[in-house]
Amino acid sequence: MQTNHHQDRTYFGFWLYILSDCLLFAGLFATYAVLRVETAGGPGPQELLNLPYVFAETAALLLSNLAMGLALVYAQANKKRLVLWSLVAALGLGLIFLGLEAHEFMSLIAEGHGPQTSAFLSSFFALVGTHGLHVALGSLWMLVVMAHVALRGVNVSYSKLRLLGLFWHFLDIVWIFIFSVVYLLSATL
Amino acid sequence: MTTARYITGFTLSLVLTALSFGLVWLHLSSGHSAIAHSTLAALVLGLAVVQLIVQMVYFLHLGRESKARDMLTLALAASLILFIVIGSLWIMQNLAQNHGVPFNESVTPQTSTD
Repeated sequence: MQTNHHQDRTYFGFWLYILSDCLLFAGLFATYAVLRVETAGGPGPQELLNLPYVFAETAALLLSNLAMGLALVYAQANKKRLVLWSLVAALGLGLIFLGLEAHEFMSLIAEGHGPQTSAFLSSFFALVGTHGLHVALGSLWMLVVMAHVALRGVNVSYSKLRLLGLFWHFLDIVWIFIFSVVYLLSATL
Repeated sequence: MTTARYITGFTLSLVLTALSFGLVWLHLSSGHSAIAHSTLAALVLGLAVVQLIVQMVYFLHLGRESKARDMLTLALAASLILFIVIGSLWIMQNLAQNHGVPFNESVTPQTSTD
């Protein structure tokens, strides 16, 4: 089973990448935690909290992760059409999440609260923006994997799908801490 | 990997998320009086950690059957994350407390003027 061994090593390598990416986010979280009080007369985290809006973002990303999980289950059962439909749902929900976040960023910048306003806003845009960039690149990757599944079939692309699933679930785990720390906790102080 | 497993993980995550948002909503709508700030912070962080574990078990399938190397590297990353986050907060809080105060005077606590 040469290929199995090879896939196993690829998976572990990707796992190590995910863990090192966690360290990147740890640095951004630490920066945010230190700087969140440095508003330089600009708006503080309280102004960012719109409970229903952040809940909608969270729900979209969580549903997207459920769809990604189902795609993996269907891939194991070799159901190509269901895999593709699940990926379409996961991608659509991911794009809804990105749209909501882009709208939030745009309105902040339009109101004059861009990243250059204060140390707090710099760290906010850096942390949430880096997560958003990951989701955007993940969406692009998902398109590529969808094409691969459609053209080459589920069996050939299963190992790619598994890595994409790991990446997508990792992004949802980072988001748990973003909505808890950046939105819920900071905004109630 | 089964459908039921993913749906369980999703439902648990949704409930934990709703609990967190509900607590904050209760806190804000009661004019910051229903729950003490420190209790609220502990609860929201606690719920986040529980959801982290739920997603690691139900989405990432980490558990007893996981390979030792996966769990070892995860433990290493987790300890590094804690060092970075807790260490940064600790050092910077110390620095803020002594901000503008010369080293030889920093032994006596100063009342902040700004």
